[in-house]
Amino acid sequence: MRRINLWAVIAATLVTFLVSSLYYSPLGFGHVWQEYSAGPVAGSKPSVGLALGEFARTLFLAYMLAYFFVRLGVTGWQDALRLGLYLWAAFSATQWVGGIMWEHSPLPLAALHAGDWLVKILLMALILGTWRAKPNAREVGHA
Amino acid sequence: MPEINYLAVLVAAAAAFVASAVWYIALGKELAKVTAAFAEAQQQRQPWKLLVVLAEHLVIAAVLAYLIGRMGPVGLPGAAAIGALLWLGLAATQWVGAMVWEKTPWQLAAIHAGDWLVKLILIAAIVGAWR
Repeated sequence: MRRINLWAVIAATLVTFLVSSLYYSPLGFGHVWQEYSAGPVAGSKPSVGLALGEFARTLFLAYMLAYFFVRLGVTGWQDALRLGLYLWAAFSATQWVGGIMWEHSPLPLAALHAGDWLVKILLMALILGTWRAKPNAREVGHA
Repeated sequence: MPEINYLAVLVAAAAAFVASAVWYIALGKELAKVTAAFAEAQQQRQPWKLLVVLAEHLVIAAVLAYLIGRMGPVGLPGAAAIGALLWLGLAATQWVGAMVWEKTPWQLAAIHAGDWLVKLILIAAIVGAWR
């Protein structure tokens, strides 16, 4: 029986949201972001609306990862980390290589964002792969 | 470890590479309006970049073949749906983030996200149906 553990999805969202916020703060790599980003909010404190939007995006990502982990029958945290790494390579690293080649994205900015996705996906994978569903959690059907 | 049809991976990567080239040729003018760097890159002949793009497509196709292989028989529509869901969860979310945090013009994000949707569905359909 394949099921999603919604508590693990919420925990993965909260942890990842906090770690990513620190990552982009002055305590982390906020200075790199501020130096190379074209965005207006880089390095400054985002509005409540932006933060809520980012939380929703993180929640959505965590849910989708949980969905795929359940369908893939992830067997534990090591398997989950390996899958997280594959997903990062296929979906994040490739996009940033393209950004650097075709749109001249600055290398430090590309590395910063790709690094955030790596941390994000691996953290989510670790939580979702370790804390798997109990029988009464939500069932996943075929796509 | 699921069995992977490496020939299907090669064919899927090549098909996605061609589809992506057609996509950017068709929408190149629109893209050049919103990104000067792309317009500049269009003028230069740099074959090594195409090799890198092909390598990217090989990575994507290999990962999709692995994922779909682990899911068991899904059929062509099921595989295409997996491609679309992966796009929604892992590609579209990145472009939304780029628009919000990096001020990426929506036209640019839409063109790139569209390319990703086409290539993910195409690759997933090929590696899902040909096992």
